[in-house]
Amino acid sequence: MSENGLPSPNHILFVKALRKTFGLIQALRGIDLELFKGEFLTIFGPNGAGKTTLIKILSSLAKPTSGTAYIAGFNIEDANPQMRSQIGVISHASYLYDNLSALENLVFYAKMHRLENPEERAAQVIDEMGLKARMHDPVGVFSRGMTQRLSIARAIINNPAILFLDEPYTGLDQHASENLKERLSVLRDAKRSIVMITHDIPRGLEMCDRVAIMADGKKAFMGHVDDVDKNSFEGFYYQTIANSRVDKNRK
Amino acid sequence: MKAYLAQIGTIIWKDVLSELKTKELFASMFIFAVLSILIFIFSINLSIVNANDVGPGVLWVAFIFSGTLGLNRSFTLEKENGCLQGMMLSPVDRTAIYFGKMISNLLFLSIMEVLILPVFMIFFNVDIISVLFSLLLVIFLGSIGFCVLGTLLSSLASNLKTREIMLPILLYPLVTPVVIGSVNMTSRLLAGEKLADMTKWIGLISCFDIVFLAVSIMTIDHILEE
Amino acid sequence: MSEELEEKEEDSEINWILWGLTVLAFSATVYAIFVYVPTEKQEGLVQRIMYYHIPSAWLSFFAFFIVFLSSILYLWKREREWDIYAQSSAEIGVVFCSLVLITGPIWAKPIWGTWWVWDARLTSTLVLWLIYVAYIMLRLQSDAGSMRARYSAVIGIAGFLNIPIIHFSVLWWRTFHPKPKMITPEGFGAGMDDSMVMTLMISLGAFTLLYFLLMGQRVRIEKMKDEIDQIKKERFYSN
Repeated sequence: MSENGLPSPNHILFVKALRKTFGLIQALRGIDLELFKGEFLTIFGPNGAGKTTLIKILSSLAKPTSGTAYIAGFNIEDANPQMRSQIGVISHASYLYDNLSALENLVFYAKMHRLENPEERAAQVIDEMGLKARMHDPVGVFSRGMTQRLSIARAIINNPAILFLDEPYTGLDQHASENLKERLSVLRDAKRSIVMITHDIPRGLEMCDRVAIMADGKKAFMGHVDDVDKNSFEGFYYQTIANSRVDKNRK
Repeated sequence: MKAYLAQIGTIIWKDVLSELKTKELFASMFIFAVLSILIFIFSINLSIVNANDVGPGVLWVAFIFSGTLGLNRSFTLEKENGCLQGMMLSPVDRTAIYFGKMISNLLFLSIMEVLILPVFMIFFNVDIISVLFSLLLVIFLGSIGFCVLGTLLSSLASNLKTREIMLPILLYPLVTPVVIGSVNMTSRLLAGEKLADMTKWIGLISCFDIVFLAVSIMTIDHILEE
Repeated sequence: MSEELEEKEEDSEINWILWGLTVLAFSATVYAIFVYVPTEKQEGLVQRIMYYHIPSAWLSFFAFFIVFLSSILYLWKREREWDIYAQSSAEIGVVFCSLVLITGPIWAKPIWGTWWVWDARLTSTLVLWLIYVAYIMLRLQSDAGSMRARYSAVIGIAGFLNIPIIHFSVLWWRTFHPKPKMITPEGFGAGMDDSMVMTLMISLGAFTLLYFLLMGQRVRIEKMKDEIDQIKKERFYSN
């Protein structure tokens, strides 16, 4: 944590004591996280750990009950729409309209992002994802893997400072997963800050710089990928989750 | 402000474009409206009852039923691949999403209504041409009220498992004033009364439109939140 | 921990006082309605149902107003407490609104000669009932959580703001209902005999007490449900 409790200019993400509760139900029980520009963070956790809630709050889809979070210099409490132009989200849902063509979909998002020359920018990102030949086909006829590629194009259309990946491998076959991995490595090598949540341990460890484990709405572990033993990580992961449950029950 | 309007325009453009490609929403709304008029005609004997008495009610039932179909469809489309979330992730004010969807709903409903009018005129053998302008005004005023509240409630119902059922259950009791007022004005227009004599109804429906537009603007933030 | 217990004890003390008062008030109401107040000349015995009908109407309206207030406060403060109040009040409101819709026709059959007429006040009560039944259905059909609370709050606000608009629309549509006797242009209670006003007032008081009693119970049940859910969740995750 930085010394004064505020993010430094090198922070892309800075989260402190973030809570989300409803009555007695606690989805997040005080999360602290920090990520520096250009880093790749993978958050592991079982279902119900609050991963998705965290991403939803950080991408300004939901409001926290208390706590603070800064993303790319914006305080999420200000609910500044401009903050969202710094964020890209790739999830297992594509956010694409089946009826519209790939190009029309992306032109729509480009316009929603108030980009200049939306048509040009849309065509450019489609080309980057290698979908130029299918640009005018409706998204409904695309394969799962192609849709996911177009979904990446959609997420980077506004050139976001930080990308959130919410279980991006869900529903992809072996080939499509490999392809997605390649695309993500390109993004990582371009020094984009990335936060990925997943429960797929091998996939999650492949590319990241930092690893965090969430359990029961709390951060149970956070460390650098070089400090963890990749071979025994699975055992460590289950042990950490089990420990955090014991801790909570003791309280 | 310009960017805000541009975003509203983009949402409408997207809806119209999607509709032009599939034509599924519009076709189903229109056929459904014709069918509901037909069912009413089977259930009443037009040689006994005066067409001017029952016609306006039947017309509005057709509008409201097929309008509900349209509202349901419009947000199902947004939910299919999580597109609504995608839209919410762009730097857009929540009210712009509401206005975009509301105006495109109103647009589709209005076009459908204009096309239904000749069908109504032929089936019920009533003369609407002489009062066409006032009639269109009354229909438009009522449709605004229906879409203002309908868009708010369908954005809400779209997140429920039973959205097709819950939308009419929530919407119909709340739009009662619009239905009563519109049917009343329509039948008086067909009976030869002037629009100028119905100012209190026009006032009431405008009041409904404004109140629920305000409610929508103030609450849409809470609905479009995960 | 001890503070919490004390608070609970205090709560139950207030609860018992409320119980006692409500029972007393209802005994007085029953006495007033069936013994004290004389039978009305024109309408006869059936007129006595008015002493249940009017207070039920008042109570349901009051309950819906509380739904409206709690809904606003929920959206503002985002505290589960207000959501519980809105829900409890809506349920009570619907129960008493149903009573209005049942006692009305019982009175109308001998007086108007028909169970139901499409009169303004009857229609608007029915529409009101439908709005809040829809509100409860919405709550039943969505999972517990902040989404359900937010959505029902929006309906709670829209429903109540609609009441005056519905009122005028059905009023201009048609009206047969007896003119309000309680508050007339000539002054408060001028259309009624003193003993009748008295009985009505007692009944109104008793029903208002009943509202607070029911509300307290319903809120407590809902909070217990929350606690049970919480305990279940903890157990589930620790195994």
